[in-house]
Amino acid sequence: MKFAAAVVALTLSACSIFGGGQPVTPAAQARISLVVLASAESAIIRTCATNIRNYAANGNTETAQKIVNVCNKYVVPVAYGIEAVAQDVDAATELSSGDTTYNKLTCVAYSAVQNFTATAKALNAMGVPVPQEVTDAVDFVGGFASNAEKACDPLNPNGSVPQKPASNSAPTPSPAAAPGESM
Amino acid sequence: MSPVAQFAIELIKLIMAVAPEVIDAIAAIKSGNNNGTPLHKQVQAILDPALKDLEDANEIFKAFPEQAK
Repeated sequence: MKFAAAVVALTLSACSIFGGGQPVTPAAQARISLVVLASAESAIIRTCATNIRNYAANGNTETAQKIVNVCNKYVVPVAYGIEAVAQDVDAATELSSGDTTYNKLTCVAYSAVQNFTATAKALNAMGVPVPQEVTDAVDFVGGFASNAEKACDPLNPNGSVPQKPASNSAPTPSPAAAPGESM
Repeated sequence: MSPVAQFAIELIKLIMAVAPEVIDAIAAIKSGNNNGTPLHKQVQAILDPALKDLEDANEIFKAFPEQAK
């Protein structure tokens, strides 16, 4: 984790270089967080695809099926959630801390972080390692989304945010826990 | 782009193995020059190839008779 923290610190330092020393606005931070989430999500999806192929090719269709179940049910919805909120951000006239779109974005980020962590544990339990990039993204976005739990409630009265596996070791996850549940 | 910024980008690519489109998207946002590229297009450019890869893997897996039961 120290290495991950160092990488994140380095990234943040480098990001400050990108902007020529300009401070990062909340809107820019929100947008960057969404891009980082998308990158981590992409890494998880590719991990799923690679391991589905490998386990199936080796004849371990049972494990392959478990990975298919977890990934299709819990990983893919996060991707669509990220894409949907990105469209909301583009459609919004402004993006500032506290407004509806900003809250929605932080809510999706919070849910994605919860989902990433739980999914990584579930995949690890099946012998599928998750890329370091995912852990880095959780560290990166976690602080940004740490206060989003409350914001999620009024925005998602029906629990429409991406949900996480209920058990770390369940091959076929049962109905997901609430987004704010601790792991 | 300054040599220092270029060095930082290359360093991040090396350490994090982050895809170039991710670095480009973050750099564009940070510099405020992303007006020409909507955020959802940037996100789609990152996610859609991976989703297609997963879709292909699922199709391959479906071809295995044992799992279809």
